[in-house]
Amino acid sequence: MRKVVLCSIISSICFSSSIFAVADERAKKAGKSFLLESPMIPVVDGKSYGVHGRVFGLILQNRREIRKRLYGVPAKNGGRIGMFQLGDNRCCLVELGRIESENEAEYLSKLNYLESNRLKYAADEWQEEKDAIEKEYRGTKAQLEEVLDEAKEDFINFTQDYLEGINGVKEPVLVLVEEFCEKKGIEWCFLLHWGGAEAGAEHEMIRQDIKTIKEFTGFCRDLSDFLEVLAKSCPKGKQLFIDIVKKAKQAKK
Amino acid sequence: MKKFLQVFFILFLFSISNFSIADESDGLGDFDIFADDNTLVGDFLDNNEFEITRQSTPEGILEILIDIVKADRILQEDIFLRTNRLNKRSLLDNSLFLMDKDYCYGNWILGVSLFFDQTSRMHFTKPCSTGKRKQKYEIASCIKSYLALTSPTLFCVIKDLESEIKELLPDFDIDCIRALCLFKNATAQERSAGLFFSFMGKIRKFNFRFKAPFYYKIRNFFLTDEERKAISREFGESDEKEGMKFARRHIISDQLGLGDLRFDFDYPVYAGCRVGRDLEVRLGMFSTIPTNVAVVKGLYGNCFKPICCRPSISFLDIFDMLQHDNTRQQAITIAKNFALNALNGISSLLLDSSLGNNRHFGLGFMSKTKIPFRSIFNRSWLGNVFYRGKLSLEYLFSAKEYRWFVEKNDVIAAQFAVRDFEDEDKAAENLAFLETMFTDKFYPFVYKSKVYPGFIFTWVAKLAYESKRWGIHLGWDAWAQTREKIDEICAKKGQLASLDVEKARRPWAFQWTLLGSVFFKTERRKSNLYVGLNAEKTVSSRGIGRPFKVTLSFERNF
Repeated sequence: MRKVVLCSIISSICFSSSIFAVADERAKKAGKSFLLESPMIPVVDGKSYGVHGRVFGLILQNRREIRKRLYGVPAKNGGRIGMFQLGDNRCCLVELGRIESENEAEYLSKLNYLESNRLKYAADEWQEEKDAIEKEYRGTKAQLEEVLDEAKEDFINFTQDYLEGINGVKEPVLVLVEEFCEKKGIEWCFLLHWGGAEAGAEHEMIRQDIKTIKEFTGFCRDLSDFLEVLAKSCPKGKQLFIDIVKKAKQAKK
Repeated sequence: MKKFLQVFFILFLFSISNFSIADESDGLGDFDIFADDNTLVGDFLDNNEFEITRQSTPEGILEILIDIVKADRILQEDIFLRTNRLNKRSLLDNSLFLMDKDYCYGNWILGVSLFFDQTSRMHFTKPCSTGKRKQKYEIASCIKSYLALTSPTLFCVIKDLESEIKELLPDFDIDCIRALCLFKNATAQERSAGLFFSFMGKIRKFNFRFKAPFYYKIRNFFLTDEERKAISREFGESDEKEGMKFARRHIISDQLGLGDLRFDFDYPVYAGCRVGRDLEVRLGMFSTIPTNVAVVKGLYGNCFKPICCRPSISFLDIFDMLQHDNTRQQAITIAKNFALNALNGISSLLLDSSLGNNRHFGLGFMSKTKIPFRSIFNRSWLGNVFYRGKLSLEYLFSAKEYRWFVEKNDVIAAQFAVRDFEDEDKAAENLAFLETMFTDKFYPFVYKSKVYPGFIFTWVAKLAYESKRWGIHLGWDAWAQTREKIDEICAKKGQLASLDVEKARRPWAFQWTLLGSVFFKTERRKSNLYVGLNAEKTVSSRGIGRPFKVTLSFERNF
């Protein structure tokens, strides 16, 4: 009896691990990103004039840089360190977006409370409270705006090469962006707007038209996802890139 | 215990295989390159720069040219249906300058005629073989009979190409076929104006004449107003000044100078007793001496020289330049210059022509007849009415001329058939082949060749009324020139057999013209002056345009 119980416990542990692993994979597949099916993809995938190994690497590199800004740089202890300084803290864009939303929400909530409890305060006391709330809100907002400008310039800097690379083929890339948005169920996004900008006007568009960290985060997330989908849709380019990485690894050894 | 361990190991192995199945089923190969925690890929991306200055490769460009642009199909299509030069009748053969009046005052006649000649639609080739009679001749005056602007096979290839491009770029809306068709009815137009000098002498019974023109000739491509409006609608309105500047630089050719010299003499072989009153038949000879020289070229238009040096184009360089902002304009300029030089080449072939007959010496025989109507119908009022006729046959000797050639279609097809465009080892060679074919398609080969123009036959028949003070001539003339022969082409030996010489030969030509003159004679003390107004219009032709001509002639008989 003891043996039977022991066997069944051990086997159930083994089976459940495999079941969980399979289930995990099934869950992964269910959320797996879609691929781009434009007729242009087979024309450019793996070609020297299209998405070859180095171009694939550039796509991955840009995606990686965007994700660093979005989620932070991976640390050795497994966590992530944000790339932007807000006060004494290093924050990533996602965190900054959360702080921005919280700042707005807190401001509105405090203001609402003050308005609804006006009678509890003397007139000058009430005004002082309101001024203090406004000052705190504006202070945080100014800091966030400063960080946003810094993030935008940083983005413009590291995407310079990528933009130069696609300048000659903007229209076909826009077709792919449109397919991406359609398949993701997005009717309008800044990425589409940015992709349709005239050559050379992309930087100004980012500086002028993006006003909040939330908008900037959304744009970066869409761009990162698009680059990932584009890369996954080019299996030949991916293989060429893997060959480059393997060669570099062997050369290092 | 033993059984327990066996069961355990079986189950353990089973679960391990499940784990490995789960691990390999993502299809990413050895590692997940998209994972943020993939240190191998992450380090590689962080420590490497990816240079995106794309260096085009022959293999890459060949893929674009063959798979997308369908260059191998397009380059096997004819662009030049013909490469012959246009037929033009010499001014010296014109019946308005015959000097065949009754010059009774003295033995010397000096004449100068102010003339204007216009051919509104020159014929590029012989009439086509299908269609109604009128259409056949109209088509011959349209450039579509010379360049393949309406070729069904070319349209097929272009349609396939357009549908493929539309799949890649849905916004692509250029209709290349419609664009080509806008130019299909373009024609070549020629105008000449100047002075025609003539000198006649009578010595004993011999009559001899010297004739030579000094004139300005302008030839250009022409589109009607409706055709130009259709082009503006398609491509947008252009600045008129810029348009004229373009036309003067690329599609108008003009020159001013001296034409060839004609010397002829005749002797009466039969004459009635009453000189000037009875039947007279004269036989004679004439020669055309190639004295033509252009004093000024490109006064209003341009002077187009034959492009003997083959231009070269490098697709590799152009593709590289297109991919960078700072060199893209340079690539566009190279392509534009290539196209404009090709247009200049066509202009040198069709528009640039000499003021004479291209240095051919001519020798001919002629017969002149004068038949008084009174000798046929005995009426007194027919006393001043005559039939004047002239028959002539001239042979033009050979001379070296520049001629334009393209290669035969079957030769080109054979060259493509042996090419394997998928062989990567031969990519550079195949690309060089396509570059050569591309150049050859738009730039015919220009070689000096020995041209035998053949015979020219003319027959003039006029009804002439000449009284003491005035006269009138009404009649017609027929002119025909045989088909030329081309020989001794100065091309490389290996290329001679592949050249399509038939396309380069001018077709035989024929004109039938109605003419009329009215002149007045004033008697002076030492001379008679004949002032005449003359006109002619070609009403029927083949292989040559239908000009009209007006002259104002002054002849002094002393």
